[in-house]
Amino acid sequence: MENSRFLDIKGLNVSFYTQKGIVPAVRELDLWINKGETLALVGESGCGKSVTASAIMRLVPSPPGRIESGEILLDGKDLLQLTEKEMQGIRGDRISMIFQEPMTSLNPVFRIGEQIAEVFITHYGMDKKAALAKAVEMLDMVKIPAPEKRVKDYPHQLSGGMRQRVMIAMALSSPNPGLMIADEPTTALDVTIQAQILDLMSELQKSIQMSLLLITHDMGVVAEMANRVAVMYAGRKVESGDVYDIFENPMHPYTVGLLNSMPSNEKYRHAGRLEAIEGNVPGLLEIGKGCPFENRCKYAKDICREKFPDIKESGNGHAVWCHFAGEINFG
Amino acid sequence: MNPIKIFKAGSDAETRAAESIWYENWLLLKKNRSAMFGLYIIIFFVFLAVFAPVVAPFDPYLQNIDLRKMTYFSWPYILGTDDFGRDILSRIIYGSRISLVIGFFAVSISLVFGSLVGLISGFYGGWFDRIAMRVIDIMLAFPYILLTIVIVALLGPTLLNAMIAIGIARLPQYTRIMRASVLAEKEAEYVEAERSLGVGNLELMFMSILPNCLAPIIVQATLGVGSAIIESAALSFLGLGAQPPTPEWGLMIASAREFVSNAWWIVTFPGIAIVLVVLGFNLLGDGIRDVLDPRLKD
Repeated sequence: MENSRFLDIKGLNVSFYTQKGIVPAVRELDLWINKGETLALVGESGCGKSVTASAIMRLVPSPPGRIESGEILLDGKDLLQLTEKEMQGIRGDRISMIFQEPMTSLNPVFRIGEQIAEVFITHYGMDKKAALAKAVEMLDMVKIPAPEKRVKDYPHQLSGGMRQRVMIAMALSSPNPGLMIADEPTTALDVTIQAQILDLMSELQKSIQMSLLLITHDMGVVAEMANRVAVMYAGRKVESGDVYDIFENPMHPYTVGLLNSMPSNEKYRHAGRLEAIEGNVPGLLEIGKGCPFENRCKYAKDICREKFPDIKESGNGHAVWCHFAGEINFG
Repeated sequence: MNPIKIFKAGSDAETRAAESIWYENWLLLKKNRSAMFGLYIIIFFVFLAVFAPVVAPFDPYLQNIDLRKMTYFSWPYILGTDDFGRDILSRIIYGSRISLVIGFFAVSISLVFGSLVGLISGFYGGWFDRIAMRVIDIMLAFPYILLTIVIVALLGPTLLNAMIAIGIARLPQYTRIMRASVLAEKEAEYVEAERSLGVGNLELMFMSILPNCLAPIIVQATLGVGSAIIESAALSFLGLGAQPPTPEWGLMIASAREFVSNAWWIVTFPGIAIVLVVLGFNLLGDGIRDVLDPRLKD
């Protein structure tokens, strides 16, 4: 199976060097995505999802950020060993990214057509006219009405959903879009447009056999889109596995908490009241050597404070990092 | 000042598409009466400057000892003559050439070099930023006019050197403004988005960040033209700028200041010209600031 891994992250550590100390934003992260597959990276704000995405793109702001160790293999090639120049060639070519904020992710002073055309000029060496024609084509592909007129619009003339489509169009314009990273692509959109955007993404993904890293905290989106799921908490991966396993048989208390706080999940909704996970993600500086979820976990015992749990695997590649995995009855 | 009205005027997608941000701002500016008044003053003086040989009734250098210090409205010398019998109106008209050139040239120097330093400083940070900012701090520690005088004294008192001195002395402001905008803009999401598309540093700096930082710089430059004109007049007045017999407004005032009690018009009319031009640039600059500063929009 090792060979079909298109993206393979091994032992990734990313830290931020701040005034108050070294903040470990991502610790010992292993992730992989097969060709054409969708991996959902879930977890609440501040758990290291976006930092992971930036690390793949090698766009961790430095200083203060630093990729301490690990390997990020894209099609067998370690991105962390590349020079900045080589990496520039990979960005927008092999990996493309859709950002969280459609309202601010487009340059406000340029027409959207020019911004999409830029990709074709940079990566295909097209002249401006041909690139603009391609831009129209791309806008049409993401189903923006009257694309030949819309290319002349400025970002402020578009709605949030349309801007997000423009972002997707730009991301899809890359010559060999092997991997697309979508960092909460729908959080800024309203629900009806969310569904359209997600449909569009999975449709396009199927048509070009692209791997998708979907970063989200919306379990509904996960259920809709993902093949596999990795749950992150405070910079650590705490559970990963096939999407059905995660939803049917979650083993980590945090995953259970996430699923319970999903409004539409009948199975985990008790007494008609939405559950929340008590407390907040601990400050990353305060995490000791134990399990990071220990202070919010109903089932925490002494050992949870002392030692980060070892991996426990069950069939189908379902892995969990909890001392009591399989022993807790979440009823 | 409501931008929504403008959208209504051309709500059809086709006309809307043609509306760039700059066009939209222009529409807003057009509604600002004082800014437009300023613009008209500037256009008027630009017209005078361009067509000086046609508009001016006399040669500004032509002396006539018999007609010394003729008062205003003594036909055909509408604004009178100076102590050498030269027509003041013609000298003011020709002087507008010099003043406008000084204004634009001095501002161009500070605009280009100041912004460039600010852009690199803000974008790359590091040692370049530290050194550049300390140099700027030192320049700002000098009283402005003193710094200008020192530079002119070093370069020699000519009109060109006065322009260069004014340009250099004003440079720190542009650097500061540019650096501040770049620091804010480079954290914007679109910069990261463009990086993720494989856009390199130089292109990011000049093609995507710079255009977004232009607004405050444009305001500063517009206001700067006015102050550069005043400063060049001041330098000429001190004998460090234009040299006689150049029809420079500050110099005209300086060379006639001894007659101010018996021939006030020789001093006053060039002074009024300075005030008008500077007022024009200030009104326009303020108007542009009102349009471009999002905090002033309702």
